[in-house]
Amino acid sequence: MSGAAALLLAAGALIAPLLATAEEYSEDAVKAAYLYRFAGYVDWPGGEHRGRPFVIAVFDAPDIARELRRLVPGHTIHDRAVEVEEVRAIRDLGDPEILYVGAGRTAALYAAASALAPKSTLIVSDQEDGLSAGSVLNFLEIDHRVRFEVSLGAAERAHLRISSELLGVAVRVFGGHRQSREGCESRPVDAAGDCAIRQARELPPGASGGDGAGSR
Amino acid sequence: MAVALLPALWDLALQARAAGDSGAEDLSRMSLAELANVEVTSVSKSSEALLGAPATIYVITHDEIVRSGVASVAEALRLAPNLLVTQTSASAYVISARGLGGNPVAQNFSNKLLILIDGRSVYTPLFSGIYANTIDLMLEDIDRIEVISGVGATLWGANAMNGVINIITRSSYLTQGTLLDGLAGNQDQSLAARYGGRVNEEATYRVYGFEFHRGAMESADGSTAHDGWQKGQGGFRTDWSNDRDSVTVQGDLYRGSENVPNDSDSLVAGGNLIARYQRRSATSDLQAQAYLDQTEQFAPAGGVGFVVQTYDLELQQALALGSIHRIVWGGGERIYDYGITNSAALLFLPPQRTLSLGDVFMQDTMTASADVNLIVGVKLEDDPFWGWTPLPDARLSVRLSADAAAWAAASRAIRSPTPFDDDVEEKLGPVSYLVANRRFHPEELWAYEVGWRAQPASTLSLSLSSFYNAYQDLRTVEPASATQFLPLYWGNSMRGATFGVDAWLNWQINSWWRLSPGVSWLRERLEFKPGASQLLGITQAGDDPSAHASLASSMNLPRRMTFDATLRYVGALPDPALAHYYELDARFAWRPSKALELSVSGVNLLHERHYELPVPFGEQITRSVMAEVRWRL
Repeated sequence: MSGAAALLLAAGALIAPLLATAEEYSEDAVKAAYLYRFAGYVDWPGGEHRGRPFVIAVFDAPDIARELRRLVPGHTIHDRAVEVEEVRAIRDLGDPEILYVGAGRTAALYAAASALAPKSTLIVSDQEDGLSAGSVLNFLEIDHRVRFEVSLGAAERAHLRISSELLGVAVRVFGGHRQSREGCESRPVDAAGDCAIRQARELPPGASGGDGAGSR
Repeated sequence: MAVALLPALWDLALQARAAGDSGAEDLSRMSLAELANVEVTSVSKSSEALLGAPATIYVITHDEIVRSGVASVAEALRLAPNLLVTQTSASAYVISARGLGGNPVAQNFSNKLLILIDGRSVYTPLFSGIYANTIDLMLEDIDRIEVISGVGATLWGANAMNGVINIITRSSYLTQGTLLDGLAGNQDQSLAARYGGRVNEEATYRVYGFEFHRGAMESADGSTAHDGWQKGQGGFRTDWSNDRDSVTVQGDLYRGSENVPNDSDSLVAGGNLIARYQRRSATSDLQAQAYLDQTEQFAPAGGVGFVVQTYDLELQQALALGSIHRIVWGGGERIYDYGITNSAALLFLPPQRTLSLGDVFMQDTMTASADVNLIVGVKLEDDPFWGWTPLPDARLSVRLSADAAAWAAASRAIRSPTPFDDDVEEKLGPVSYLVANRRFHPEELWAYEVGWRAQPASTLSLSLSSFYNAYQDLRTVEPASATQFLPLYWGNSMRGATFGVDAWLNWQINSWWRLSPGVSWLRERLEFKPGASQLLGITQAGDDPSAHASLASSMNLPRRMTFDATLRYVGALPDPALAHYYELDARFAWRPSKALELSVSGVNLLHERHYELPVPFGEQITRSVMAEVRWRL
């Protein structure tokens, strides 16, 4: 039986490459695609950006930066050319529209959140409790899928408006203030996101992402 | 033959890699909702977060556990290369790290590990060991198991002498929906169900229940050891969180029974309730936790046994002071209230006690420069039977480059006396041959460690650490006096050092195949103090193999199939002696749809039966194969 078990192991290892047709995506490629997509569902304040490229900064995540660079050519965001910047130190951060902080870089995340506090940067983190460090979006992996959660409080502080469609795909949305049960009409109008929670469909992790997220 | 396969495999792997690198184009065309639906093959990311950590840490991820084919938490612990897990019966396992795993000949049990489930300590205060039949969980609910070898006293708690095992379950918002799991095999059968729901935007919950039956192992002559057992368990967890605060309340209840030859069943039962509050901000992180725990084990017909009730309250705060200091401080109080029903041969006197274990600690992480962190901490522990002891800890972590870091640590830990060390009396008929003496000293350890971690490529991460443990006052058996042999008592007449290396690497060979070899090597240089009786010899501190190793292979096959296998090696045990052995666990799974997963797995596949601890201390562990259906509604 020990021979048979070893044979089973070896057979599995041998057959697999013969069958391999690469149809699965890497986590990094999906996250890079998300970063690109997020931009279309977020409104940055002010309008004097013509001519300046849309910057997606990546801190300490060379694989994500590489995937972004492969994905970005030929695409524009809000009619601006897209530039991917790899950042090695928080002090080198300029004023990117989006900042992705690599997984596990908690200290850098806190530093980035405070350094970018006066600016309007969409900070995307990739770790447990990333939102409490000050990011606006945080990636989660649930049942072999990359999902994300949103902090509307952080979005408000960064003067970013987040579309309800993005909120609808999120796994969790943390409100800027406590949510009441009344409809949107009874609340004063402030950040678009507040009311959007009412309309957002929460998807249980593990359920197919296509349902209930609105037509795309 | 295996060696000849490797070049062929390598060529095929390279070809598969070349074919599999596209996809960026397709993804850029996908909507958010479509991206949320894409199945990804993930690379183990835990190493990135750990790069700068100044300790030997192996994180067993949720995926590793679920894909390995193991059926219990104790078996899942084998996935950590820095832990040694030895199965002795259908329900009993000995778990140790860095040696000194105990020796049943000397009634010495593996008693130097702290094991926590969601912050609740689960080692028994009666002798500091682990009852493996009380740590079952629904494996699907485990988020990760952090295995930290070495001293964890300052931050983690009492008894963290050789290591800390921190089992963390998933927040309920990650376990939504209905899950049904059925498993049947030649040895194990189980049924489990879990439902997760949402109360509102901020609060989620889950409830679960499972029941399993584990078949008996075999005795020396191949007949059944009659040690099969079954257990039913259920529990819940609720999580509430907003941007700043989070509250978790969780609890479990279990009851199991184990067959005993020629007798009715023995009983294990217990329950717990934990409440945890956390408030986080950019500068401060406050945690408060309280739990109640009750556990009992009784021999057949309500005979010998014990009940232990635990009440625990802990507070901890992490603060940033300026840009250089990050302080963690806190304290806690734990009350153990136990009652023992003594047998005629083994008595605890007094049979009931209320023990109090308190502690207060502080740790400062100083950022000396962008690449160097110095961590200094101390815990003051107030142990029952002994009083206040300082447990200092100093660590240095140096970031050598963007992908490599080195660290060094020096720390002190103790194993404080337990009721087994202080209160026990053992008799043979009317004669007391061992009477524990109330002057038992804590066992003491000064541990010196260095380590290095690197991630030279995104596909390769390595960890190497070395330790030198200087022990004092290890437990021995001493005669009553120079003139009188009986009664014996527990002395502290052993000391010495152990040293060794823990190393592992994680190699993502290509997008679908990951290999993780790991090895643990140990040398023990223990000696008796002058005047010691030397009864039962040096190996009473631990019947430890000088090396153990594992090789895990994880493959994502096309058509949503996976194949995982872990080969392990355990070196020869010195005394009582046992030959070295290899064993294999493997699992093949297929996800025909998003909701359904079918799998076939086996544990201990290489031999129809084998010993992990020699007769009479262990049964023969038999091969187990099983099929499982996991259905998400």
